Amino acid sequence: MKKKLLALVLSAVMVFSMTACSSKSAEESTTTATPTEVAAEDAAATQAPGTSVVTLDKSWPTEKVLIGFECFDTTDDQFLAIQKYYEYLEQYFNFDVMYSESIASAEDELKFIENCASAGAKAVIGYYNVSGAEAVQLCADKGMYYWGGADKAIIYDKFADNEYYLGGYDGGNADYDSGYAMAKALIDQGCEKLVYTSGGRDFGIDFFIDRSEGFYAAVEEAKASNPNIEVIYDVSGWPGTDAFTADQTKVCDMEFDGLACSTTAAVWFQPLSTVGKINTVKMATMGSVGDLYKDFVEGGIVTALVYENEEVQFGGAIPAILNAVAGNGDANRNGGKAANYKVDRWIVTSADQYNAIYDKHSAGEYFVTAEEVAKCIVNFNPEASYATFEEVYSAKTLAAAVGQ
Amino acid sequence: MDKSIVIDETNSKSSKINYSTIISKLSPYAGLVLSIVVFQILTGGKLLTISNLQSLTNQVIITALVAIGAVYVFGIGCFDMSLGSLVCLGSVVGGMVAIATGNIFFAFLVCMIIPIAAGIIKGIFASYVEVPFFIFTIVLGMVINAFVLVILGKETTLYLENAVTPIKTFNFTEMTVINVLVLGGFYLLCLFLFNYTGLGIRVKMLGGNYDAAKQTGMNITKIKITAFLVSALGVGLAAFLILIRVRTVGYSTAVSTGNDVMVALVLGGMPISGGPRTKISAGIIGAATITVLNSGLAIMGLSTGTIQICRGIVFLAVVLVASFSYRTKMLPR
Repeated sequence: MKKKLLALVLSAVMVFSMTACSSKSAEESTTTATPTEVAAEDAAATQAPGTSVVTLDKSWPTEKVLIGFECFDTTDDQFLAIQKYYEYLEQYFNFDVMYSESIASAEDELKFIENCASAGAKAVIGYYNVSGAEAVQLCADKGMYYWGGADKAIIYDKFADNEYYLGGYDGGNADYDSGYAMAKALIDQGCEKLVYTSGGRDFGIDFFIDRSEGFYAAVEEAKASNPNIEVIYDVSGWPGTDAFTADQTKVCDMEFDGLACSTTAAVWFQPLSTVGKINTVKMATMGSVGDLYKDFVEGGIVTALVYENEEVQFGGAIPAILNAVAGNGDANRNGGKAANYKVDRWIVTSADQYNAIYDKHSAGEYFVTAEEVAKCIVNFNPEASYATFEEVYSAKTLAAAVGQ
Repeated sequence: MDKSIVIDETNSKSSKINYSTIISKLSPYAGLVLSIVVFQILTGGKLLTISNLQSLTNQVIITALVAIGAVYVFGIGCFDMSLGSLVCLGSVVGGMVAIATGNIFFAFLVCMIIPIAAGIIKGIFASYVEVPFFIFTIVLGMVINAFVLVILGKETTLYLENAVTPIKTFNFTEMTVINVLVLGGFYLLCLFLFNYTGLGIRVKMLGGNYDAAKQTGMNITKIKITAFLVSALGVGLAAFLILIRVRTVGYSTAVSTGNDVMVALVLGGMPISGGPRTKISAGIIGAATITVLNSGLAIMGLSTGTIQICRGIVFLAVVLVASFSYRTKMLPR
């Protein structure tokens, strides 16, 4: 009994110390002067003259804006990269982000939104949306703004005129184009015998279907000039499952020279190395620019990477939300409707491009800087409008950012 | 409180207060109250605002409905791991019917009929087939999940918005009222059946010692099927409420419900092996505790990792407290 009581007391101490330490560190991060804040002050000093109404020193907005962020996997590379970018912006603007746990279902999503409202969040970023329009409706019911889903008709068409719906970027046929780009990149590099991993296409997941259609369309087009081009195998399903592993084994025994992955190429590195084909197969994949692919891109193994640049794709949420919270939501709107500016994915096809992105991010720099974000915010730039968002985000293609 | 619990009369020398039993008995209630007080302080009063109370009601409802019904099933010693899958199946098929007919009443019927049919099958299996029941329910859950995938086909998600005729949308406040009424009604029904009919005592006897229960001459099959039917009512109501609240159902619907129910029962002070310590309040107290805990940690804005560690520690602490009064020497079962 005494041992059990002791264990209980220790448990309580652990919980309290963990929650207390978390709160403390959060406070410290807002009160302690850090080198990055000094950098922020430097940045403020270098702003374009005549456009700045307030300074970029985290003093605006005066009241910290809490923003909820819905995500599907808290260990995902892209999510971690977005988190890092928001931390960078938090050094210049007075906001904080409350991240969800990995959301598995529509109920979890609505629970998170309710918790955001209770915590005093002013807006929610729909990086992941499983409940469709219901998430937006709940945000509106709770008086919170919602950013995201501008390329989903089920959301945009219903809420484009709703004051609480901020819209977001519109990727257009981004997934179709991604599949097309992967096939084209491999074919342009001389690949003829292709393997495609179709992810959740056979489970009816829209973006996997679109990617698959784009991939096969490019292959059919290329066949007209080179009949030797063919898809010799289509691996369906999720990496790590028995069926996927069995297919991998089968594919490793085949003769092929190009592999396109609508999920991730990382699961192929080890099997292809084992059978000695890692240097003979070119790969195209969806993915992020980070440590995972660096060596393989430099080694000419991954020759095409379809990349959603986190600051260009998801960075626009911050100025849009801050404008709305400050009562300047009209600056975000496209002719009175929620924003839906075009943003392209970046198709990285060379080690130079990859390293340019990698090196910039490693140095703590971004393709959309805090100053550019400030340009979209009325309190910093009274001329800010929807056109400014297009100028900052839509114009930021890979070519514009790092060159071909 | 039953004095027989407080007073250990087996001590022949003197009546002695059994503190372990008292602590164990009160720990679920104390845990809930403590959670509320602690998070009310740590969140600066945000936990018990009117708006968040409504949110908590919406968040607790699914776990509570399934857990209250599950008390009967776990009470008879049947470890059911297919509950979440059945909620999912009910919601998905109910959603299909709602979309195809535009009639929410038909959807309600389907949401109820499917778990009830499954409950009867489970009851018969538990009565007549000599296989560890939890193995059966694990397999059943997998089969149900696969079946959901098959019937969904190329649609991963069903939206009630696509119904042939518009289906009424309930706003946040209306949903809260519906949830409170349904939860209250189901709780009272289960409480009545458990405490004011012979069902409760039979459930406890069956879960406590199967052979002894059989010797009393009770109809084991009838008790088991009844327990599964009551559980099915909770599952059906949960499936329907998910459908009308979330209006979006798919393969991942209620994916965490099965685990949440088991955790809720343990937090509520009920051994999931069933038996004499089975109590209806375990379902609702446990579900409320886990909801307050999750909501409080989320409102505090802690990182995901910290939330999971805190939650794990709290669960372990509760299990530890609950184990204070466990008998270390059991009679052969």
